[in-house]
Amino acid sequence: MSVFAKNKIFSFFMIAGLAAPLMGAMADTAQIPLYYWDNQSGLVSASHCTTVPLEETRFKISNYFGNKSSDTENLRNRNGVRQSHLVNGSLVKAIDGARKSNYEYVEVVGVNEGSDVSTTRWFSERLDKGYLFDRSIDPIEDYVLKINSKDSDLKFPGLDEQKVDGTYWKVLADQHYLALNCSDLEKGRDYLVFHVYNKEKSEGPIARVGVYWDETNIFGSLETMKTEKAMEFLPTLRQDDRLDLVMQETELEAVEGTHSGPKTALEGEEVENTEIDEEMEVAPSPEMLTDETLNKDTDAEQAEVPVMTGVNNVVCISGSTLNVRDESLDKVLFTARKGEKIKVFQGWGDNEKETVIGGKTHKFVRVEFAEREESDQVIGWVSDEFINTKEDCAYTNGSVIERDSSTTISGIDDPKCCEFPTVKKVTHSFTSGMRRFKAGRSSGKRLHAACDLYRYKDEPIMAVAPGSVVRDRYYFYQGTYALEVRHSGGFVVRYGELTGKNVSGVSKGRSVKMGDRLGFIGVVNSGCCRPMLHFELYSGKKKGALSQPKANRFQRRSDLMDPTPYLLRWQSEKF
Amino acid sequence: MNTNKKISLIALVLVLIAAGGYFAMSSAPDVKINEEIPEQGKQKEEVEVTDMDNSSTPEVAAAAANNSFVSTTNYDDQSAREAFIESSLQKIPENERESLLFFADTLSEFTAEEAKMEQLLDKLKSKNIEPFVMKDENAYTGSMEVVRTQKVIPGTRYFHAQYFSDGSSENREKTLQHMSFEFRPGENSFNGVKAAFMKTFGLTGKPVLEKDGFVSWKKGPYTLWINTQSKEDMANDPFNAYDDKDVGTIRAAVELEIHDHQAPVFHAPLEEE
Repeated sequence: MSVFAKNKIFSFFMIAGLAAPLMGAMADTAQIPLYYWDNQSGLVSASHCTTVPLEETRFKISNYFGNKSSDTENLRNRNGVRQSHLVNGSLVKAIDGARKSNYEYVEVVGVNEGSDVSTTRWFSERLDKGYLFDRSIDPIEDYVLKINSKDSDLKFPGLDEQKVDGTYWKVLADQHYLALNCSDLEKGRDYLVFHVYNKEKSEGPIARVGVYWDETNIFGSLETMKTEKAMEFLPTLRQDDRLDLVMQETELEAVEGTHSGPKTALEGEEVENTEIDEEMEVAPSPEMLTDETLNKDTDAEQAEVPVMTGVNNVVCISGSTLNVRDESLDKVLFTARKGEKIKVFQGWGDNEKETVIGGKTHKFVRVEFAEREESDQVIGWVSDEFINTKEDCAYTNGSVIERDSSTTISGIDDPKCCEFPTVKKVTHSFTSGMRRFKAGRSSGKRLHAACDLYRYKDEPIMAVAPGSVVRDRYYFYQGTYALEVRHSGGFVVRYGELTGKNVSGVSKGRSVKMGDRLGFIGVVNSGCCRPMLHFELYSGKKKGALSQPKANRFQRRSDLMDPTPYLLRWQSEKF
Repeated sequence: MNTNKKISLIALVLVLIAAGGYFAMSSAPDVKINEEIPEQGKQKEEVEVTDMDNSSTPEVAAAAANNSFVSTTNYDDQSAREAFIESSLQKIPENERESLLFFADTLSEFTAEEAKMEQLLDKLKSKNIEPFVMKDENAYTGSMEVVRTQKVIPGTRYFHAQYFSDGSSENREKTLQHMSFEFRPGENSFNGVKAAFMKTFGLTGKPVLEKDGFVSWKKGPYTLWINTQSKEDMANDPFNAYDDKDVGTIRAAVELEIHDHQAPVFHAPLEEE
């Protein structure tokens, strides 16, 4: 046998010997189901996708860095003022914002519920934003996340009743992370791949899930722990934490070509738009009303003005999700879920299109889903047949989800009542100057009907007592908003001069507990005044509109009360 | 006193001065990094508050309003006001001008005490912009009826009116709390809307407050304001949809007054509790 041949044979066995465990590993990882997370649709199969290297991720874990030990770190505003305490081990994401030396601007994705710290209203919550000391930030790959899903129905599709709740999620990272590469997903979105484990299956991960940093509902409730601690009950973590093996799988898939199978689990759910998907002939946009059309003769019998119940529109469908399309109406951009708040564009630009499908004209409108975490799936086109107010929609039940309001009070004079509505003490006294109740306005013709509690813009405000939201945000004053709450015992508070930003779970009819966030402090667009909470208090003995310009010098309902003594008491008890 | 004693005395005085300075510095409060620092320094400044109604010149009033902004509109002179209104409106395309004046006139008309919501609906219907009402009612704070329109007229959009009343009882009186509309962004848009307000409301006096991109007046219990909307102004609006191209939209509104028509006080002094 020639030397050349011997070398060849030797090389073959060497490669085979080295490759065998690799092939075994690749075979194993190739069997792990792949998904991605969508806030509206949940876990979606990504079996047609591949994984590619990712250099950086926005996901990080908070910690404490300093001379003393602490279970929390301060989340601050740009001026360095502490806004809240962030529990160590919380999942955060780096977001774009004004730079601050030695700090990173982050948003809280999920607070670590595994900590022994008893959280109060001064603690950071999911979606809070602020500046975190950059040395108090750890890489996500150093931790394992345990998902505590509040949705008991959340399961891995195709994984035999495997619930998401109680699973352990780990980012594997060596020289780089992994991200999903799917032809049907929006370009520019990095779906960071997590390996998912459970304690029962000891052979390795049960699934891999790609999560986009701007769609993170799945992490709303979680616990975190250091990887070393998780290895005590997830021994496969030790060997799995070698990314080079997983990367070999990616290259193999690229060589083998694309996968077959359904592109998305949504295909079976596109019930609402199957008819509209057929034969779309896009008609020219209807012309805006012009001089020629404005003055044309109208019907002798003028149409009645439609009256709807409720002031906010939602997606009104019998199914669970609705396709949201691009401007051509040919391509589905993303999905919206039933009951999701929706706003319709009006005015200049192209905001309406008509299509003829099967001889019937359908009107599509441009819409905005403003209350979404993901900022790149907010605007699209839907058929206006699927838009209605929540109260008028036959498919969204109007039932109120009652939360635990075990801290009931008998009224505003109950010793257990109440909570001062701002996170910290006011910066200016509300008992003097123009901020006090009954201060003269309009040269004394009118009296101030509230106490103005000065704090900082975008700070949360709290419900002073348990109660129920009776009116959600409406235009109040110079670009700010108000909402109205009827509290236990019957007294009513109007919380005014808020920003429009919604607190998840706060809407008309929802119950709130004492200390629950209701909204955020705003500032009027004239710049006349500092950011404040405009706090109006009513005994509840009267009914009807709170603002009544002809009623009295306060121009308010007659059961208006002076909130000053109550606020002083609550303030001294809280601070 | 001999020379040596003089020198000793001078040296002693110098030492005492140095020692005094050292102790003064060492007793200054530590400013800790990352501690909450109230704005005491700023708030102890004395700031002159100007009564806008009584200010002698628009320049003084406007300068007090924003420390630097000086309006280019001469409110004192009738012919100058009229010239401003005329020239500003002429810069708006005719079809948009008509829409603008329609809505400015609507805001003016319906801030009158005797104006009724039903009349508003009739007026909007006559313009074929298909008004509709969204009703929000509860047993504790009565009814809020929101009037909006299905259609738009050139250059404008998002007409919105909020009426409050005592709920479902018959013949209940409805109070207008807010009415607004938007005009498209553009170089001449702000002045165009301002001119439309001055014309339709018959505003002859100086604004209560004016700064770059914002102006407000007072009419009875209402404040009239016009704002050039920034991205932040439009964020989280529960009623209107926006995208980035809408920055610069002009919002014009009438609202029941909450604060007062006075110059902004940027740094009110901290008061002792």
